[in-house]
Amino acid sequence: MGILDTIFGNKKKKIEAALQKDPTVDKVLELSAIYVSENDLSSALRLLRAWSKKFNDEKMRTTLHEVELQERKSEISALEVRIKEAPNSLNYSRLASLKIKSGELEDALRISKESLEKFPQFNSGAHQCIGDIFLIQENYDGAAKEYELVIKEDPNNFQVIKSLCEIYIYKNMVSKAVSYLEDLIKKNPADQTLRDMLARAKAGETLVEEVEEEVLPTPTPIPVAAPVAPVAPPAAKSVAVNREPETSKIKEKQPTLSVTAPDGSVKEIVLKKDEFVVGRHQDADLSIDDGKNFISRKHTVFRKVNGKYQVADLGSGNGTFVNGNKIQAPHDLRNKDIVKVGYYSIQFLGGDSGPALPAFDMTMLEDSEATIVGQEFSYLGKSAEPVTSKISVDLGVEKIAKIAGVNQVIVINSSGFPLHFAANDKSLDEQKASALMSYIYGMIQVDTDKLDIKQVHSCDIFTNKLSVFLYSKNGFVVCVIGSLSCKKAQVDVEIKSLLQGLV
Amino acid sequence: MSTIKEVMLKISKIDKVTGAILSSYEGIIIDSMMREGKDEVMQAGIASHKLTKAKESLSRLNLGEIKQMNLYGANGSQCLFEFNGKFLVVNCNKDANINYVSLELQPLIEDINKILTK
Repeated sequence: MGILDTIFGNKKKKIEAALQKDPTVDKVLELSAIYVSENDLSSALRLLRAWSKKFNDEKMRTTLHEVELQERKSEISALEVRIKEAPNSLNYSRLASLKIKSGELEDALRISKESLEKFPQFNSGAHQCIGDIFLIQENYDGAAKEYELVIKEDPNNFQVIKSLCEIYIYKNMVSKAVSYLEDLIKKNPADQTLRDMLARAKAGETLVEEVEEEVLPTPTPIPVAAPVAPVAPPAAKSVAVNREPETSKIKEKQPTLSVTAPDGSVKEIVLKKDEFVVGRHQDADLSIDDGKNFISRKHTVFRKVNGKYQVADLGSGNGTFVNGNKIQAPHDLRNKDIVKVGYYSIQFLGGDSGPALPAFDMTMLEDSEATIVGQEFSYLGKSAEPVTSKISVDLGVEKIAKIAGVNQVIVINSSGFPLHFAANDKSLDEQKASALMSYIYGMIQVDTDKLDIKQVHSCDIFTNKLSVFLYSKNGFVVCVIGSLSCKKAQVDVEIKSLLQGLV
Repeated sequence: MSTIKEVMLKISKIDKVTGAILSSYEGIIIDSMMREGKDEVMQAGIASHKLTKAKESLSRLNLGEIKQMNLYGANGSQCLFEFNGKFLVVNCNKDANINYVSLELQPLIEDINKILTK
C-alpha cells in the first residue's frame, strides 16, 4: 500500500496536510524525500529552507546541503548538454559560475578560457568568472586585470567595479580606487556603501602619505623610550586596509571579533565566553540586524573547543560564510578569518597562530554571487531564494519557447546583454539581437511622457516576416520573436510569471 | 473612392480610438484627427523617430520590414502603421482592444494606400 500511496501522491498529500497541523522534523524530511524521488528538487529545497529556519536540526541541514548539491549537479549537467546543443557565451559563463560555487575552480577556469576562445568578443561573463577564480586563489593582480576587461565591455557593472576597488585599496593603489569610486558615486549619489568605500580608500591614501613622511630622515631624533600608547586606530582602517596598526597586534593575543556593519562602522569585541552567539535576537551575545532579514534570530555561534575557537551556523536561513565559503559544519577559525553573517563581516583576530589570510574582504566575492554572468541577476546574491528565482526565469523562458510559432526568447538586462536565451531557430545572433532589441526598447521609451500613453511597458512589432513582442520590468527586457502566426495572447499568459521572477 | 479625410474620419470613429495622424517620414502631416490642444506635429515627429530607429535595428537583424508597431503605455496604447514612406499613428485609450482596433483598421489602411498610390 505504501508504494501505491507514494505512486498516487496520496502519501505526499497526507504528509503535507499533517505538516500544516503538526510540523515535525521527520515529516519535513519524509516529504522532502518524496519530492526528491519525484525529481522535484525545487520543492524539496523550498521546504527544507523554510523549515530549517524553524527547526535547528543537524539532519535537516545535512539533507538541505545534499539536495542543494544535487540540484547544482543537475543544473551543471543540464548546462553541459545545452552547451553541446547551442554553445554560447552565456551558457559557458553560467556553467563556470556554478563550478566556482561548487569549488571546482580548475574546471571553472578551463570552461571560461574555452568560452573566451570561442567567443573572444563581448564576453565579459567569462572575464568576470576568471576574475572571481583569481580572487579566490588570492591572485589579486590577475583578478584586477580580468575585472578591468569586464569594465571595458560593461562600464556599468557595479559589482565588478566594487570588487576591483577593493583590490585597489588592498594593493594600495588608492588613487585608482578613488577615481573609480568618485565616478560611481556621481552615477549613484544615494549609495552609502560607495561613500563608505571612498572614505576607506581616502583613509588609505592618507596613511600612505603618513608612512612616506615617516621614512624621510628627520633632523630631530625620535625618543627611544617613548611609551607605546594603545591609541585606537581609525575605524575604517582597522579592517579594510591591510596594515597592522599597533593596537591590533596587542589585541591578537586575546581572541577578538572585529565586526564591520554594512554602513562601514567597526566594533571590536573581546571573546571572553566559551560560547558567543550572534543573531538578530536581543538575547544573542552580539545582537545585530541588517534590516533586510538576512540575519536569523540565532544565526551563528563562536565556540571554544579544546582551547581553539570554532564557528558554527545555527541553522540560519541564509547561512554563515567563512572567507567566502558557506560552512556546513563547525569550522576551526584561524587568525583573520572573515565570517560573514548577513551583510555583517566579522573578522576573527587572535587565537590560533596559523597562517594569516590577507585582510581583503572576501565577502565581496560572496556578494558577487549575484554576478552569475557578469552583470546579470543583481537580485540573486541578495535574495533569500536565489536559485529558485533563477530557475523560475529559466522555466518561464523555456515555457514561452514551447509556444507554437515562437522562434527565440531572450531576457536582456539594462546594459543590453542577454541573460537567458532559448531558441528554436538558431539563425539569430543572441548578442546582436539583445543589443538591438534593448536599443529599440530604450528608444521607444524616449519622449513617451510627451504622448498621452505615458510610460510604455510593452510593445509589439510586426514585420513582413515575423512578430516581435517586447516586455519590460525592473530594467529587464524580455524579447519574444516568432512567426506571424505566433499567438500573442498565449505569450502574454506565460510572460506574467516570467516577469515576476525578474526582480 | 473615399477621400483621405473620409477614411481618417472613419478611423477616428472606431471604438476607443482617441485620435489619428497620417504623416510622411519627413514630418509633413497629410491629415489628422486629433482632439483640440494636441500637438500633432510633435506626435508625428516622435512616431517617425521611433519607426525609423526600429526599422534600422530590425533590418540589421534581417527580421524584415516593419508593417505595424503597437506601444502599450500606462495611460493608453498607440498603433503605428507604415506604408509607402508614410505612416499612420492611431492613439487609443487604455481600455482599447488593440487586436480589434487593428482588425478594423486593416481595410481603412488599404483604402489610404490606394488613395496615396493613385
